[in-house]
Amino acid sequence: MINIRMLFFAAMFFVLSINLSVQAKTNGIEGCGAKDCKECHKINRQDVEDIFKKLNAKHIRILDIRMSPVKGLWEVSMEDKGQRGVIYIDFSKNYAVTGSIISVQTGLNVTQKKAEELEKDRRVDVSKIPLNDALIMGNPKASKKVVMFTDPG
Amino acid sequence: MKAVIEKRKDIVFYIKFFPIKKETQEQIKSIACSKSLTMLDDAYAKKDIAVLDCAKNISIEKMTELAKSLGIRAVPTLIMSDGRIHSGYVQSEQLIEIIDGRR
Repeated sequence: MINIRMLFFAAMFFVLSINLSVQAKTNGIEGCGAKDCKECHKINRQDVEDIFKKLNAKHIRILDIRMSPVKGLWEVSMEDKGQRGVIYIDFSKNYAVTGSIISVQTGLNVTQKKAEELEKDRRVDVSKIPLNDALIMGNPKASKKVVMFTDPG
Repeated sequence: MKAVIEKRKDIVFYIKFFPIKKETQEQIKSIACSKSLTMLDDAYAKKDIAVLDCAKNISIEKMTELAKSLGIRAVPTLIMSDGRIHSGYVQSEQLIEIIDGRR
């Protein structure tokens, strides 16, 4: 008798768990944010180039395209006349977003941090700086040449 | 910067101008054409700078154009020989670390 009852409960539990797992699967397919966005949404360099062209900004150089911390937005790292920054493009590719993403948990300005990182990676082509008109401080034959741009006063 | 070149004989600074303020434009022209470090010091110390004849040969627009084309937005901005960039004032010890690429 006890064995039958136990079996019954075990069977019930089994049915229930199948049910739950099926439901979870359905939720996964239909629900938001349950999967990796990249499985459903795609963007490539050409897409971004087209968007920049439409925005009359085709001179902007694309450095990198990746998922932004905000689901629904791509993060595009770019360089314009030597200045680096970030612009966001939504999954529909109908909207470009400029501005800052701020982490609610840490209060960190994620966009600014990214821009600072990009600037840190930037290198100036030193050969493009004429030095014949510069003021020289130190030994001109020194091995480490540092160019300083300043505005006194 | 003076402290840096005193400590480190293998470092030399090439000073160029990125005219941001309108008030200093005339000063910059005279300092740039004379290439005088004394005049530059005086300008930093907010002393009066003599207006030199050669100043007329200096183009503020060209200076600004160059700095902007390099993506420079602020002063002072340092550019190391490998192209690394640093903006803002720092102590001489820190400056040496930046120049050496240890920071």
